[in-house]
Amino acid sequence: MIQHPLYLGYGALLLMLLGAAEYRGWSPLSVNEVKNVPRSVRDNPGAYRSHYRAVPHFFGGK
Amino acid sequence: MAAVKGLNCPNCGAALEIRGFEHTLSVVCVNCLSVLDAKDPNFRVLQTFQERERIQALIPLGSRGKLHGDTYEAIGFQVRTIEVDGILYSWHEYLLFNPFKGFRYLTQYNGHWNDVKTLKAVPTPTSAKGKPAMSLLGENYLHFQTAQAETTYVMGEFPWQVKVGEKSTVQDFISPPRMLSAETTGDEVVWSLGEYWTGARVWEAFKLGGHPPAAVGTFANQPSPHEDKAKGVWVTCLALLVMLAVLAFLCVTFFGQEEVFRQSYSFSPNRSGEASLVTPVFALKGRTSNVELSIRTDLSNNWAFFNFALINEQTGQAYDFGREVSYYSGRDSDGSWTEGNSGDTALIPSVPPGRYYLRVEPEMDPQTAALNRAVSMRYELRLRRDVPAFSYFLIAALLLLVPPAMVTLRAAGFERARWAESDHAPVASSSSSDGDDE
Repeated sequence: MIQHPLYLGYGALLLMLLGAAEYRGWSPLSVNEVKNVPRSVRDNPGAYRSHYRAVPHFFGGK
Repeated sequence: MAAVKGLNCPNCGAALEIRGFEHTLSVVCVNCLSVLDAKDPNFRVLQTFQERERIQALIPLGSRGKLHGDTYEAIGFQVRTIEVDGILYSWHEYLLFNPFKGFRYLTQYNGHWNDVKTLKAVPTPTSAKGKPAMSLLGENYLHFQTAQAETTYVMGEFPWQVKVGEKSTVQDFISPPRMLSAETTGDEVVWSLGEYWTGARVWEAFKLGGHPPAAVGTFANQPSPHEDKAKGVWVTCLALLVMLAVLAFLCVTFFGQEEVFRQSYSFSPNRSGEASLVTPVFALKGRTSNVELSIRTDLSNNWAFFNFALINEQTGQAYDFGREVSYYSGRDSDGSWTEGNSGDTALIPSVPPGRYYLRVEPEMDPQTAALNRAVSMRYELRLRRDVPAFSYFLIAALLLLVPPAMVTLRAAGFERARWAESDHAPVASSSSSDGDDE
């Protein structure tokens, strides 16, 4: 293994990154973080305007 | 070391130098290139004409070098040529002499060198890796090339009756860095064993000035610079994959994966009123970690879009994201088909602990709603805290495999280049076939 210190370092870094990503719960999912959402949303969910709103697509099957 | 015996060439009168004592059977005059009989008291001329152009030996005759701890003197130089597919290939051979150790050779082709010693043992024929081979001291040497070699230039002295134009059949068998060669002249077969040397090693041995000619291409018995790397890198890769598996096991064992919420709902785009809803408040405990949202629906030949907001009841911080679920199936001339999935999973990253609720706003095809068709969907939402992301392990495994795969490809490329020059070259691609000219 010592013959390939670069690869060993690359692998160790990859495993450390993976461990950190798993431990901290990192994810490639695109989420928008919104601050100070009013408490009234619980009573009136329709008042909330989503900051992530994708346009739906109609696939229409095969 | 051998003293020089001073004599004169009967053809041109130039001084001759004999370094090989009684071993020398023929000597070539360095001035007129006449080949002389060294055993004849008057140095009978055996051959007078060689090449019009003189060839400069890279190791000057008379140079002394240390090989395997012994001092050898370069006493002879010859150029030998083979013809393959109408192309002439020439290599240089230097005859080295030590009065106590005998003769050995250094050969040079395109900057690749071999230290060669004739063998007393006779190898036995065998086959290996689908090729004819020779076995010597338990090692198999694969057949590389058989060719008719012709001596095209000689200089210095030789322990045999050397002659320009002399022909012999040369068979080479390789087990890098060694090469086994059989040279057949008439009924006589001489076996020799060569070991690959770099030009730098030859230059160091003979303390030659300047730099050796750069090695061009890949030589038959040139040791692959990638082979050991390829073996070692796979061992390292295996160790890293084991560590990856251990990490995956630790994540599965020690991550909470606690289900914090599960509820079923129904939705119909035809129904008037507010489509969005909020779930009851649930607690996300522990460290900052991910939250996995699973959506299961009973969609069939339809789609639904979900706007989600995971909202912290205490701080008012929200994580907004959307997921689309669609599932279609049918049957046509190709048979039955399906497309999409009636469920989906999303990982919400790095959510701090706290009390949260989920706002859900489902949508379905507005055209369907306009047609006032009775369309409805049942769906179930399930939230889990601190879930290992297995796709990361798969990606990490693939990334770990990239460097060894590259090293292996390079090693394979080196071997392809080696065997491309042999009698067993891989078959050329069809791009060179006649049909491609159209």
